[in-house]
Order: sequence, then C-alpha cells, then structure tokens
Amino acid sequence: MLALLLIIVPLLFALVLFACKEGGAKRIAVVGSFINLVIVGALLLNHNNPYLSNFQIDWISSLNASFHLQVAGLGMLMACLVALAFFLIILFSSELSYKNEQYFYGLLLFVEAGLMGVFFAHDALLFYFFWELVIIPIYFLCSIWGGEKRIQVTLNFFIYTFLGSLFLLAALLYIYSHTPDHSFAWESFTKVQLSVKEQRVIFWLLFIALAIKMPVFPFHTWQPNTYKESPLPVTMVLSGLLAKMGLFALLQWVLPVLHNFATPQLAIILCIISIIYASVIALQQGDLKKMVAYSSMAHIGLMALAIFSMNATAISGASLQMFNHGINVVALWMIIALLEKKYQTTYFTNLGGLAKTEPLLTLFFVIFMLANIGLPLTNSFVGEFLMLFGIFSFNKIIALFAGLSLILSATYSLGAIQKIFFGNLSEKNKHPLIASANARWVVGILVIFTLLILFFGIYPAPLFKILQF
Amino acid sequence: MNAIIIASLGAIILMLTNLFFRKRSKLLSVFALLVVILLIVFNTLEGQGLLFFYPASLNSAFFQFSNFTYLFNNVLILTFLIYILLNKNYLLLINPDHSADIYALLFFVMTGCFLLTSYNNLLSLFLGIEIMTIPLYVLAGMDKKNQKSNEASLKYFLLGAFSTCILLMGITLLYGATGSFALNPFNTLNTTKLLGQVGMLFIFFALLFKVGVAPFHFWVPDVYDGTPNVFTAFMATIVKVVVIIALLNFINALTPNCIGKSYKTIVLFVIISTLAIGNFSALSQPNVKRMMAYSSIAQAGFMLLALYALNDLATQGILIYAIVYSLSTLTIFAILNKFSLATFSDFNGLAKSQPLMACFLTVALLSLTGIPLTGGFFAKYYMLSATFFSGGKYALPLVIICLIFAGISAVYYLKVIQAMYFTTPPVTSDHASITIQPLATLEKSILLLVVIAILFLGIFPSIVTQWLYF
Repeated sequence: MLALLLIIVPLLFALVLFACKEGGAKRIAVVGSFINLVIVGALLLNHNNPYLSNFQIDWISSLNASFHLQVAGLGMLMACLVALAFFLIILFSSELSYKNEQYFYGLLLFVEAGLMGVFFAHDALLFYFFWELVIIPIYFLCSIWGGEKRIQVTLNFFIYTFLGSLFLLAALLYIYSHTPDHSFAWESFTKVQLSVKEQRVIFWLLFIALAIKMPVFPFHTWQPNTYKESPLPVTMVLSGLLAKMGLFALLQWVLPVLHNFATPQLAIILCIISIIYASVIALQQGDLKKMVAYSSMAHIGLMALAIFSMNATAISGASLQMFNHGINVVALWMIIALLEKKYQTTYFTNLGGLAKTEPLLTLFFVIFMLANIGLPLTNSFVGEFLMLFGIFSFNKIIALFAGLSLILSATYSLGAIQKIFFGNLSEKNKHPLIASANARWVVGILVIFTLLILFFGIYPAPLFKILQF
Repeated sequence: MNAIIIASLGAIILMLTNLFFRKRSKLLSVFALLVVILLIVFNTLEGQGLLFFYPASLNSAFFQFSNFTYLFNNVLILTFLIYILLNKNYLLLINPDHSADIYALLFFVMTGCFLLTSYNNLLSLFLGIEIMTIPLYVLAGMDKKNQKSNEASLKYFLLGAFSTCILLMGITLLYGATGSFALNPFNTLNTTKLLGQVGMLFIFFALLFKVGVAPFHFWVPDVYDGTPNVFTAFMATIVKVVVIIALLNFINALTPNCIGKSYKTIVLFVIISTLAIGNFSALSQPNVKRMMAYSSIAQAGFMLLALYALNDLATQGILIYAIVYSLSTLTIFAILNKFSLATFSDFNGLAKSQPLMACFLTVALLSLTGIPLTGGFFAKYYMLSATFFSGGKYALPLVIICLIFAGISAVYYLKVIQAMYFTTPPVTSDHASITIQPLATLEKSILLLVVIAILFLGIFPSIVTQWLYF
C-alpha cells in the first residue's frame, strides 16, 4: 500500500503543479517530495508488514499482467535514494530559477513517480511501462529548459533510449511467450527455461537496452552531451538515478531469468573498455561538466562489470555502490550548478584559484571528489572495495583493469580540484557578476550530503540491512 | 446485416435530399448523425440477437456474421461518428453545391465497409471493394477547382481500376480452380492447383494494393496529398483499416495447406518493405500531411503483422490497433484542417498560441509512436506479442526489425512536437500565424474525449478485447 502511495503522491502533486500558478510552485514541490521521503521512512520501518509493503490488483487479466508492487531489498534501497535525492534536488533547485516553474517541478515529480514504479514493479509489463514513462518528462525537461544545443541533443537522447527500451520490450515479450503460465509476474519470469542459444540472444537484446541506459561503451554517445545540455537538476536525476535503472534491471530482471548462464566475454570486454575509455577521456576534458559525466560513466562501467562477474561479493558491492554513487554524483553536480551560476562557466581555463574566494565551496568539493575517488572513510570505499574484491576472485586480469580505474579516477578528480580551486585567480572571477553568498540552506544541503558520505563510509551496515529486505 | 441495409438506405435518401434541401445544409449533418446513431443501435442489437431485417439466414452464402464482425462494425461506426462530428463544417465547405452528395458518398463507402467486414463469398468481396472505392474516387476529386485534387482523383481512379482488374482476375482464376465463389475452407481445400494459387495471390495483391502497402504503395502519397484534408482523414483511417480486416478474413477463410509455405515469406517481405519505405520516406517530408501519408503506410505495416501471426492475439491486436490508429489519425487530421499548408515550421510555437491543440496533437503523435500510457503502445504490443506466439524462427528477427522501425518513426513524430513546444515562431512571419484557426467548442470537447479514450486504452486495453468473447 505504501509503495503505491510513493507513486501516487508525486503524481498527484505533479497534477496540482500543472494546474497552479507559477508563484507557489516551489513550495508545493518541496512538500510533495518531502511527503514521499516520509513515506519511504515509514516503509523502511514497516517493510515486514505485507499489507503495507505489497500491493497487487488485476490489470490486464487476459494477458496475466497485474499491477503488482513489492518492496524488496535492492528496490527499497533505490527508492530511498530516489526519495532522498529528489527532496534535496528540488530543495536545491530553488537556488536556480527557471521560468514556468510549475511545469518544471511538475515534470520532475512525474519522473519521481516513474522511478518509484520502476524500482517497485514486480510485474514485467508494469516494469516496462514505468521504464518508458520516465523518459517522456525527461524529454520535455531537457528540451524546454536545457542549454543552447538542447533540441538536437535531447532528440538524440530520446531516440537512443526509446530504441533501447524497444529492445527491452522485445526481450521481455520473448521471455513472456516462454513462461510456463504465460504470465508477466516476476516469479514466472524466474521459472523460464531457455536454451543456451536463446539465452544468448535474449542477453544481447537486454544488454543493448540496458547498456544504452547506463550507459556502457559503445552506446554512450548520447550521454556527455545530454548531461551537459540538460538543466542541472535534470542532470542530477539523469546521472544519479536514471543511470541506476539499467543496473537495477540487470540485477532484478536479467540475472534471475538467465539460469546457468556465463556472461559472454564480449560484454565484459565492453565494460572494461567503457571504464578505461571514459576515464581517459575524463582526464583530457577541459569542461568540468563533461569530466563528471565521463567519470560517472566510468563508475557505472565498474558496477556493470561487477554485476557481470556474477560473484556474490561483487554484486553486493555494486548494489551498495548504486546508492552511494547516486549520492556522490548528485552532490558533485550541485557544486557545478553553484559554480556555473556564479561564474557562468565550467571550463577549467576560465576558472582557477577559487579557494581564496570560496573556501566553503572548496571544502565541500574536495570532500565530494574524494568520495568520488573512493577514499576510505567515504561511502564509495565500501562498495568499490567489495566490487574489486569480487572481481579479483572472478578473474585477476580483469580486476587489474578495474583497479586501474581507481587510479585514473584519482588523477582526474584531483586534477579538477587543482585546476578550479588552486592556481591563479583570474581578474574576471574576482568580481563575479552575481556576487551572491551561498544561501544558508544551500550550505545546509551540502552539509547533509557530507554527513551522508561520511556516515555511510564509516557505518554502511544500515544499507546492507536494507539490501536484505 | 442491419448495418449494411441502414447505411445504404441512408445513402440513397441523402442522394435524393439534394433535390429538396439544397439550401439547408445544416439539416444534412443532423440527418447524417441520426443515421449513424441508428447504425450503432441496430448493429449492437443485432449483435445481441435482436434482428431488424430478417434475411433468410444470417450466415448465408454471402455473409457471415460473428462477434468480431459486430464489434468491428461498431468500431467503424463510432469512428465514423467521431469523423463526422470533427469534420462536419469542413464537409459542407468543400463543395457547397454538393454537400448532400458528399454525405451520400460517405454512406456508400460505409456500406462497402460493412460488406467487407462480413463477406463470405468472393462476389460479396468484390461488391464491397467496388462500393467502397468508387465513391472514394469521386470524393478525392471533390475539390473541383483544385488541380491537385483532380490529379489525385484521376491517379486514384486509374490505379484503383487497375487493381480491381487484378482482383477480378484472381477471383476468376479461383473460380476456375474450385468451381465456386464461396469462401470457406471446404471449398478452397483443393486449391493446391497452380490455378487456384495464382488466383489467391492475385486477390491478395489486389487487396494489398487497396490498403496501400509496399510494394503497392505508389499511389498513396500523391492521392493523400491531393485529396481534400477531410477525405484524406477518412481514407487513411476507416478505409485502410477495413481493407486490412477484409484481407484478414480472406486469409482466415483459407486452410493452412492451401495457403502454402511461401505465404509467410511473402507477408514477411511485404511487412519489412512497407515499414522501411514508409518510415524512411516519412523522415524527409517537408509537410505534415505528406508525412502522415507515409506514416500511414508504415502503420499499415504494423497492422499487417496480424496477417503474419494469424492467431487469437492478433485478432485482438488488430482491433485495438484499428481503434487507436483511427482515433490518433483523426485527431491529427482534425488539427491539420486548421492549417492552410501545414509545413513543419507552421507548427512552431503552437504550444504557446494554442496550448490545448498542441496537447491533443502531442498525445495523438505519441500514440502513433507507441509510447506507454497511450493506446498506441498496446496496439503495437499486441501485434508483436502475437508474432512471438505464432512462433517460427523468423518471429524474433521480425519483431526486432519492427521495433527498430518504431524507433525511427519517433524521429518524425517528435519533429512536430519539437516544433510546437521548443521552437518559437519567427517574429516576422506574418502569414503563418494568421492561417491557424482556433478549435471550435464542439471540436474541442470531441477531441478531449478522443484523447481521453486514447489514454484510457493505454492503461486498460482489455476493455475492448473483452467484448470479443461475450
């Protein structure tokens, strides 16, 4: 029941926002996302109560598709991330002003509802339904409020992801037609017996679909431009949450369906290429935005690799990292948003020496970057350690490549800190056009992120506990 | 049966009214609507077993009525009702002297359609096709002063007549092989002869020609483009869908062994070439009406999947596809009526000037793309699912090819949405902003209902299919 509320509440608030005037939109959106956060909290406390955590009604009975939501470990963890991230992102977005705010926040809440649906759906058709629903509001958000080249870039993004989800549909339909009882229920999907050859075909269909979403090389070409051109709150959603949909689908809908299936070598090689390629490109970027985009791609590649290694330790590390990477990357984009707002640029050449004028921002940026690298005491250390450990016992050479990503990540992350906050302060940046001191609550949001990073770095046990649900 | 009789009676009466009510054209649409409502009532009653006219036997040598027939007739009538409500002002404007004739012709087309949904005999098939297409040739040229309309009419007539010849030839050959016009499995059992096979192939191709799918699609873009908007909407929705149903009836009436092994290969080729030609050509069209012509070719390609699958799911699927496709296309054409030229740039900034119109158009376009939450998703879903269940080693590659083309179709549908929402109209354009008329209140409310129906079907498609099993 509560899971259903998590979808309905943001939808309702989105509808209210569409109907209301521009004035109070922000507040309504904040309230909406806060209510969802509270519901997630309530769900966490009551996850054992089947009445509250489970919801099932008939949907299309002739197809054996039901509207079935169920709270399960990974889905619950992702729902926590979604609710938390959306609350903080919407709170933060007030710092950046957009015209026709009511539509902006309405569409954002629409995305939240879709994401909740994706993570709770226990029925393949329902899952696919929400999966596609998420990209429609994103399409409008990016095309209306995005940067200069937004229209072409967003169309590119949409066609890419739409094609990807069509592959997903093909695979789901194929599996559905082979289920023993012709049903879309998750349980019947896990009972499917496919021959090795069929499994391979299905795997590649799903791989293409999910690799576009994550993204993994060579299906990543939409990603850097989209991250760059989207309005920043949407970029946060894209990189922090939407990218996790692919990984989640891999764990929830791909692995349980394929039995006794060894990941094809090519998929693993693509993941490794993805990691190395993205890291190397991140090293050479002159734009902070693109650097973070590529860095995010490298991290996602590592998680995908961990999942494909089919090693239990690596998979639990990847699950954990899905949550932590979401937190880190959203925090990083927030800093970028603040920088862009104040200095109108994110190119390294135009920035530099900001540590003198922005000590607080520097502090947060360094913390978030260190978390991005995966330093001990920060949240991603735990996940990355487990992933590398698992991959190591799977194959030592692959582990070598995976480990390389950490070193590269440290290189470009520290490089970015150096280029932006140290060095010479340019004349122009001494007196930025908008001389705003960061509002107190923005600092508050960043403090929350810092605390989350440190807390889960030192004491990740609650996350593991949620994964056991 | 009732539907056929009432529609033809209505058409004959309408033809005569031109003598008496030449000046009072408002009454015409009222009368037409009345006939349509009668059609719905009596068709539904007949479906429940309440007959109005008593033919010797309902399942006679000429017609066969099943649940599906009644249901599909109702779908046709409802679509026709929506069509009239959306276009009644424009129907009167095309050729004010002959507005009664226009309505009469439309009802004749409907008569042909009802024949085609229920035929059980090659003669009634031929009659249906002719009663349906001959009025269409006239309608295509209704805008007498417009050269393009004349051209469309002539092209349509010449090519249509040619395809009718092929149809007749096929019927003759099949008659020669079996010695009967009746279309039931027992009769066509011994059509394994070459004569019968060629005959069937001829009929099949002639009907494909009437649908307008590749490689018989050449007439479609020119005819759709030249024909007045209101009639294009009619041809692209009701007529197209009905011929596909006629095709499906034809194939279903044949036994598997007389269809032959090559049947699936032919359909496969037709589907893939239709999708390819329709989608790739639609990508590069300069105006929306021509794009819609090609997109309707592509959509027909998806509907032909029912001919490939030939199972229960396909029957449900074609029903949903027909409804959703017709509703979406009617919505788009109702809005195209408001434009004089409808190039892509005419849609720039429509979301600002006409938000409601833009919203309706967006839903219709997304539905044609096949996005979840719109009926178009389930339409495509059923088709693809049916293809999977039909089995065979070509099922998976076929589905993947179809999906790739569905992805490509998103490009040109989104082009319109992009123009409406994300592009601002150039300040200097004086003609573009003037030519867009706002929607009338009636049109608004009808379109709102249609859009709600599209969305509703996107969540509960079974609301339609459950009627099949009553």
